[in-house]
Amino acid sequence: MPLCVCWFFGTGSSFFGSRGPRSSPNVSPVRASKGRLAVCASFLAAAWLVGCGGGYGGMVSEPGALRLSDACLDLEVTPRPFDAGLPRPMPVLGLRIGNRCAHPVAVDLRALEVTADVGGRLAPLRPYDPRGELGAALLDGRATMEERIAWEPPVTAEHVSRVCVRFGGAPACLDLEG
Amino acid sequence: MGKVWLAVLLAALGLAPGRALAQGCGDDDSGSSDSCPVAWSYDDDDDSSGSSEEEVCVETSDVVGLQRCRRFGRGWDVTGVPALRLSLAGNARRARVGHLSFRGQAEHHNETHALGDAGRDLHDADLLTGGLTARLDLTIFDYVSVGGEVSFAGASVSGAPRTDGALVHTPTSVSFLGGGLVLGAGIPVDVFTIRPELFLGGRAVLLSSETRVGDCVESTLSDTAEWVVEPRIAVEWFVGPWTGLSVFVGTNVLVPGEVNAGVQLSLHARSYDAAPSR
Repeated sequence: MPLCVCWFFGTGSSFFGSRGPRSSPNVSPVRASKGRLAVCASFLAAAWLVGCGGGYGGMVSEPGALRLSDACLDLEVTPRPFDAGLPRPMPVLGLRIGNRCAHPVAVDLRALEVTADVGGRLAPLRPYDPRGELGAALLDGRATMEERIAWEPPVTAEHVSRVCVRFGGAPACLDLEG
Repeated sequence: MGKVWLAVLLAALGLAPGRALAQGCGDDDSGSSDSCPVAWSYDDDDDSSGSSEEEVCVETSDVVGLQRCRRFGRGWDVTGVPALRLSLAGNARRARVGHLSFRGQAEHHNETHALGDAGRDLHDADLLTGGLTARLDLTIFDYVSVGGEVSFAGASVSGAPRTDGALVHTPTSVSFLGGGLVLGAGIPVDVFTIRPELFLGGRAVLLSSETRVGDCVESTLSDTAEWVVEPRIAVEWFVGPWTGLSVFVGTNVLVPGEVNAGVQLSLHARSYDAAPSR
């Protein structure tokens, strides 16, 4: 590939400098090839920077995080501190999703099954969504997303110390601090 | 007439005292500035700057539903984002100009001379040109794309000086300015995409000549235009989800023997062109 790129710039030089190095006695062949090499290197560096500067290749989990996966998506759930703006105590979870597949995948966090251990019984939690924002969204191939969502327990639940999340397979549980 | 002069004089006086006083103030080291009729200026953009400060959103929470400045999905939800591809290519073309007839005009000593050149009169009517091509494509129906392309290429040429009366002209270079539509398909194969494409467009071909009448020498352009129908095959290698490097080759079916090949760098608005499977 680099040879192809360099070959192009070698050809193009006859265009950029109307007559090209062959008929330019002031430009030595060594100097011209060095210049060409510099352009090649810049081109490849730019391609590498742009091309390799993104793309999900795997998740480095935070300590204490819950890690779940399905066919394409990796989900990491992390407990986050309570936000004083919330109307009542409810667990806040940081959700990070990475798409391992090269094609876009629909992400619907409303469909995520989150339950809380309330007095030994599992109670379903619903996402706190006063503006109705949560909906089906599309995560591009090899892309990542991160959102922080509060989960509303039943009104009878005073304190949630453990949440369980089901994503694809069996539910996995996470102890919340405090 | 006298009134006009008076008006001018009054107007001048109306301006002059202020200027004189201002200068006087500047010279007065001990005087109080309060008494000086300085023409204070004020920033008329106060209101707008105030409102722009109000427009700057300060985020108060990271939790969905409490965020003031962003909504869920912003920054990663690609619903409705078109699969655009912006490309820049460097290409070399074996161009044939032997069938073309160029027309132009040369100006010498305030006289206009008509120029007519035949491509076949050039020493080498099969040119190797180098150039650049810019493209914007949109992927539709998952694997089909439509786009627009503009290109610019050139090559040095030579030919025997031609004499037309007192006018002597010598061809020096040929430039190509092209543009058109590109219809294509993308067949994903791992990190590669194979792209059969069809370019439909046209190009202006400009022949630069040195014209001479006596001791008067000028650079003169003569031109012509032609259609281009060019099937191509390209292989794009995704060096990253949003960046691809391609090599391509095509041939202009309207000019047999004309071959175009190059290397292309593409930036994609959607990773891997949003192809549903790969």
